[in-house]
Amino acid sequence: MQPYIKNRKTLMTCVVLAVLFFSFSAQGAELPKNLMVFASTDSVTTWDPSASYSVELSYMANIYEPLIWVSPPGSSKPFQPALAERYEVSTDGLTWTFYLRKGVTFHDGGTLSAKTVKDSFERTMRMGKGAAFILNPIKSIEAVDDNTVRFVLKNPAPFDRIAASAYAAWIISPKGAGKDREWFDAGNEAGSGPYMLESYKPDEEIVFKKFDGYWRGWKGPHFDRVVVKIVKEATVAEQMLDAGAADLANRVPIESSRHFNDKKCCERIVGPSFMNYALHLNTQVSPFDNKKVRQAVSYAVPYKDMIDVGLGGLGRQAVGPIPYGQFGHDDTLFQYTHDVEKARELMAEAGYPKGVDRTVLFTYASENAVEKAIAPLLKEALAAIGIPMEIRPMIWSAQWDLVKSGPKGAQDIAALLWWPTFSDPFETLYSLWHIEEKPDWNFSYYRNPDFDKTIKAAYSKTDASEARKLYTKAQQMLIEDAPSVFLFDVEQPVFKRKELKGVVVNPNYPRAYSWYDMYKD
Amino acid sequence: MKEEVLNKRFRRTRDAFRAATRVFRNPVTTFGALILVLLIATALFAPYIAPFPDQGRGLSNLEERLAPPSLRHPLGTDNLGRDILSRLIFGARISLKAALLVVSIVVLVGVPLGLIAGYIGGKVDEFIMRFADMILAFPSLLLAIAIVASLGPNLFNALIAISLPWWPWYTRLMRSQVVTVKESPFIESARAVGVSSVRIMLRHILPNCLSPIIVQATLDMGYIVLSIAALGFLGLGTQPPAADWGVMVSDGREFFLKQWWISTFSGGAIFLSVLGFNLVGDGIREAMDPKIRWRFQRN
Repeated sequence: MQPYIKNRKTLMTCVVLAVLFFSFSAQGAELPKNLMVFASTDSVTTWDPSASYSVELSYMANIYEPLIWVSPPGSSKPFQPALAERYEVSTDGLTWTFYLRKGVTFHDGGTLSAKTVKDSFERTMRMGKGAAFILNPIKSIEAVDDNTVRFVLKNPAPFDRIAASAYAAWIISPKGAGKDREWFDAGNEAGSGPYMLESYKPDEEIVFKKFDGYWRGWKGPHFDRVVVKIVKEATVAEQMLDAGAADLANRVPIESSRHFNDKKCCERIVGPSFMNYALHLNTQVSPFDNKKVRQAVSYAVPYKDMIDVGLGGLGRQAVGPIPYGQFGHDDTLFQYTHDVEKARELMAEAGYPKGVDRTVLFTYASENAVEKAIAPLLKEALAAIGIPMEIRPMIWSAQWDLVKSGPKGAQDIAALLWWPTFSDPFETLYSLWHIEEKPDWNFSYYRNPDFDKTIKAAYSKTDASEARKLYTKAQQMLIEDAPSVFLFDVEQPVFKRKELKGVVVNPNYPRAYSWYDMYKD
Repeated sequence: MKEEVLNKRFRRTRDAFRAATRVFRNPVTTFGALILVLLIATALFAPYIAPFPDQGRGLSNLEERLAPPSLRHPLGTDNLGRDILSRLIFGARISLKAALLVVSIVVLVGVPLGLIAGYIGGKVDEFIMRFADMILAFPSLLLAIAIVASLGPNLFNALIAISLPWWPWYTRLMRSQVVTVKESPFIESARAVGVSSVRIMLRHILPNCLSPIIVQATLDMGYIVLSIAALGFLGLGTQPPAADWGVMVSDGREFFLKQWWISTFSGGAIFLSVLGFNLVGDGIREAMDPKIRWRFQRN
């Protein structure tokens, strides 16, 4: 027994020390010009393009293509053609016709036809996994001829934004559409994009090679191979960049990120993102069933400090629930400021001049470093207005289960990182605040029939400015009622060696970068 | 009669004194004990010793984020500008309290079970020991992680999770001792004069089996400090803003390349306390082991 205990002790010490010193293990080597190494934190949850609804988007977007892409903000056209060269919409917004590109071949040798598109969409709808719900408006899909496909909708919806979605809208080869999820998850793919999956070691390394038959061709500088190293430890990713063992990384330590441009070798690109953080208050249980208390919380939160500590300064205080740059965002909406005096006044008006006599429960996803970093600040902020708070980190799925068990006996405050599945504000507003008899995504258990009516009216408008007006009205209701504290919109940094060029950040496809456009000089 | 009692008392004190001098004749053990005394003192007087007691308890101080070691902050500050030294001092409270609690739980559960199993024997013995074996079949830290994950991460659950896979070690240790001692002639004579089983167990067997338990408990304290830190490191133990060494090491990971002081000093605190417990535990064991006791005898 004695020696055994001693061995365990040694083992434990090693584990703690190993994590500390692992960061010294980056290797130094010059990488060839036709190869890119990407140090990424993102694991693959599934390789099935119909079911994919997570961070593997980073790789999916280079293997598969949708019918059209949404352009990054500031572009002259809202969409860019991909597998469809152009599209038309009927005046009632119900019939959408896409004209496909000719001569597109898939990695497995199949060719693109209207039937391929129909089969892909139908496979996703049939499986009903991941983001398949965004295809709900589709009534029927029709292959008019070889290169024309027509979507008929049940109700008017912005189908161009749906067809360009980052999830559930990838086109799968004729052969692939007949396979099941197991086949894909074994490391197979059936895309038409510039890069093919060559080998895959879960949570370790993914190797991609260029697809010679890619329809855009390979003139000009491109990479022959892209190697993704899955690196969970941010310090390791930074050292790989420093040593030239990686060209691109999607995360380095927050404090290093702040001073990243001081480096000789590397630089940081900051792009917009549609990700934002909010705190959702349980509007059905005391004390947050009181509007004044909720508003007081919105005044009590130190937005600037949280952005500084949690995001290393890379973010801005949110104006309403729709992030900067997304359709529906309105900069003129009211914004709460950090004003403790005002918050205390509101608490007194609400009948809590001496504070609340119950400890409220705050939950956050333990995987999320930002939420972890801001939790102590929130506790202090609420203590300042007399609301004692317990912090409880939970594995994301457990947190979600707790939310779904609510509103009684559930959390009082839940932190949530949100990003839209496709670039329309309806999805965000509907998912997070519409009346749900059985809670799902309505983390604040908010109930406002007027709000529901307003967003539904907005979604059925084909005229963008009319829709925008209604979305603004809906957001005003949320800001006034304050069921949620709109913390901050995240700016997405990406880190790269200076010689790597052509990195474009497109917030419609979070954390996905087009490798085809990149090269080294 | 009176003289005899006096004599007995005197002998007891003298024996205890001799045992203590035996333990501390070894300079390495004294060093370990010194660490522990320091540790216990800081834990007891944390609010008076810590330069910034509020920050030790978790209050942020954003004006001085990530300051390097200086006269004002001898060990630097962390991501929320809190003084690392104060955090470490308050962390000592948590670590020591946790280690003491866990050791008491496992001793209070494990030792009686071992005593019963060893003394009664037969089916009771089989039942208790097979149950203990079953629990020992799981790797303890893994089992602890699973328990905390299902109960929810906080310090109390972490303590339960560490204690649960641990007590069987004491049951086994105790049982093996009891089995040898109960065959001794003095137990037989006690039984012959009609002393009850309970009294035999408590008055005659238990005291004679305690020394290996004390050694084991002291050695385990260090390991428990380490386990609590490991769970904290994984985010399954103490929750912020309370100070915990493991949590601090984990928080510092993010800053390790530039702000090395966060992880390094908190790791150092874990290292020192584990070292202290191990040295003292080893010292006690050597002093109590008759096979190596000759080393301490006077010429």
